[in-house]
Amino acid sequence: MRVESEVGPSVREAEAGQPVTSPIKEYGEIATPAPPASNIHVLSIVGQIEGHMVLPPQNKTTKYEHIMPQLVAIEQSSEIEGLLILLNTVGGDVEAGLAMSELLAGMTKPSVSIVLGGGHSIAVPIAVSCSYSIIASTATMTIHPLRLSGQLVIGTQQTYEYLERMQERVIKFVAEHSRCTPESFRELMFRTGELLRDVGTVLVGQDAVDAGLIDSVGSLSDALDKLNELISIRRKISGGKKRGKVH
Amino acid sequence: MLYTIMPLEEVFAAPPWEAGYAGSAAAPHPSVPAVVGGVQVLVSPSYDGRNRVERIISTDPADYLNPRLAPGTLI
Repeated sequence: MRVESEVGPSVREAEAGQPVTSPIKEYGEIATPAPPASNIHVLSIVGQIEGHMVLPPQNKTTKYEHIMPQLVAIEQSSEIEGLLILLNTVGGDVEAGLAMSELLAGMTKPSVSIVLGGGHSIAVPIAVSCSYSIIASTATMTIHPLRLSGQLVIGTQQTYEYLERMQERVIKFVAEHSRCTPESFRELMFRTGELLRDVGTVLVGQDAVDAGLIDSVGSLSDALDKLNELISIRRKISGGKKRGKVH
Repeated sequence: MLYTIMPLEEVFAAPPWEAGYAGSAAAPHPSVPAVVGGVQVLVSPSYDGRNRVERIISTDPADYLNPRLAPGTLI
């Protein structure tokens, strides 16, 4: 009551006479029917994968704090049945990449990854962690050794061992989740003469399939067909305790 | 530790607007997370006090078809 008494006469008049300052409620937008909820969700991993260190703003990044809770939400959701991963990344933080890969590999729902453009360095474990992996015929994957980031003192025995251990984690994960053996993956990493500035290998489309990393060459329709196939297999296996790994 | 094909001197280089190159763009406003209609987005402040949608952070493909969330839309 007290509030009403404080309102000036001009405001009361305006309320009565439909003032021009009243908030516009109708924008004349055409109401489109809501699209039916999709049972397939999509996650795009682009640019640099950003982990513990925030990268300077000229880098386009995908942040692990955005991706990881989404993976948990997808696994928990009762409506979502499958996950499509779009990869076009130049690599990034080793631990963030491995964390995403481990979560993807630990999901019971089927997932299909498509490497588009490029899926280099730490994107390799992410691509192979899915139930099924696809590469576009023009996409490339660069396999190369880990390099020191500069903050570490170069040349000491400890530094070398740290680097070696990090590299082993990547090799172990890739070998466990693809048809590529640790020996052949290491061979791709340290091959000389393929890269201009460094040791390593560039795999284009079919090369990645031949190396045993990726399951097949294809694009969006192939990925969706595969995902729907995996979803129908999972529906048949009631309970869904079995992991959807196929080769 | 980074495992990337990008040269590290390029990843950690000063952004062009800080390095002071002639003709380089002004520093963009940093994007901040926001929730619009239940969907997480990244927005940057626009000149008139409204916010411009920069990026949608959602796994639901239908959110990318929502015209009110299209990148560049002022909210």
